[in-house]
Amino acid sequence: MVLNALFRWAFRRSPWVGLLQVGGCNGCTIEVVDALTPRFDIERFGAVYKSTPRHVDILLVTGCVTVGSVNFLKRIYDQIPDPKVIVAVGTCAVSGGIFTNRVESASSYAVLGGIDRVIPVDIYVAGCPPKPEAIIDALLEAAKLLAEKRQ
Amino acid sequence: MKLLKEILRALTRPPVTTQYPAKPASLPPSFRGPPDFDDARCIRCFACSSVCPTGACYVQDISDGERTVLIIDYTRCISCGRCVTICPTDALHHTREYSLLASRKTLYTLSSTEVDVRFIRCTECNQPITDVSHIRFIADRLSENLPEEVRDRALEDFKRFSSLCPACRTKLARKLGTSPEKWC
Repeated sequence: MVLNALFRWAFRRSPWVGLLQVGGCNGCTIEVVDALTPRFDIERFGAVYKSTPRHVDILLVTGCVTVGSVNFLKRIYDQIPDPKVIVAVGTCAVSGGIFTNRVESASSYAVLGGIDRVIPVDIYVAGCPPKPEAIIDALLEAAKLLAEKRQ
Repeated sequence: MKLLKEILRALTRPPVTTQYPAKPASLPPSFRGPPDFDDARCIRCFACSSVCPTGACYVQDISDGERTVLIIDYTRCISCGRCVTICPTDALHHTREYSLLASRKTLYTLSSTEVDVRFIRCTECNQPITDVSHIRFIADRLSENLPEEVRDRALEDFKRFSSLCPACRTKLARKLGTSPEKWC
């Protein structure tokens, strides 16, 4: 009980962040990397970038889901230990963006659409691409959500 | 000596890291946020919905076609600004919104405005053509930009043609003849 409380206190301000790109044009991925640089520096909030899903609390997913990336998106989602927060970064990850259309017949045959077609999403960040400030906002929101899920 | 200078400069200068959540983000003057719609200026040509590459901006009929709504879906909008460029009356403009977060997709603020469309119907076959203010806008543009010699005749023709649907318009044009001699 005491140990649990101690863990929660220790985890409170250290959300570890992973980045996954499943399609799209790479613009949002570069914006996320931009948020890691000294200019925006998400390590101010204790967020550390980790390159393996097994160490990750918050996963930032960029890009639309293509037919080829469905399997590894599902696999990586399963590899993240609970509790986890999934953030859809960019219009492509939210709805499919420029690669799909509201009219189904005008969409690409190789693109499923937003990542919520495959995995559950907690926070959506729209923008093409979103500014690093928006990603920082999403990260703070995700850290709050993570603390709630740990309760 | 060079290193010492660098150290002194680093000590006196403020850090490069932005103070973002405490201070608002600095946006460039040409920043393009998702567009917003101004009903008072709109002439209901709906050019915006036809150029939108992602289908974010669209027109929908609600309650059995009695009312029309212009929707800008911010989950789809990529802020490309094609609707803003094509709008003939500047009814659309970019907002300076940069942080569009939501915990659910339905929580996104759709900019949906009910637009009052008063259709002109074809005098021959009673098909709806377009809105009154759209026709008026075209008539104004014509009377402003046409040379004096042809203006009266052109406006007279426009009056006759603008009350017809495209199919009936073609019929009338065939009947009247569209030879270039008519205009010189």
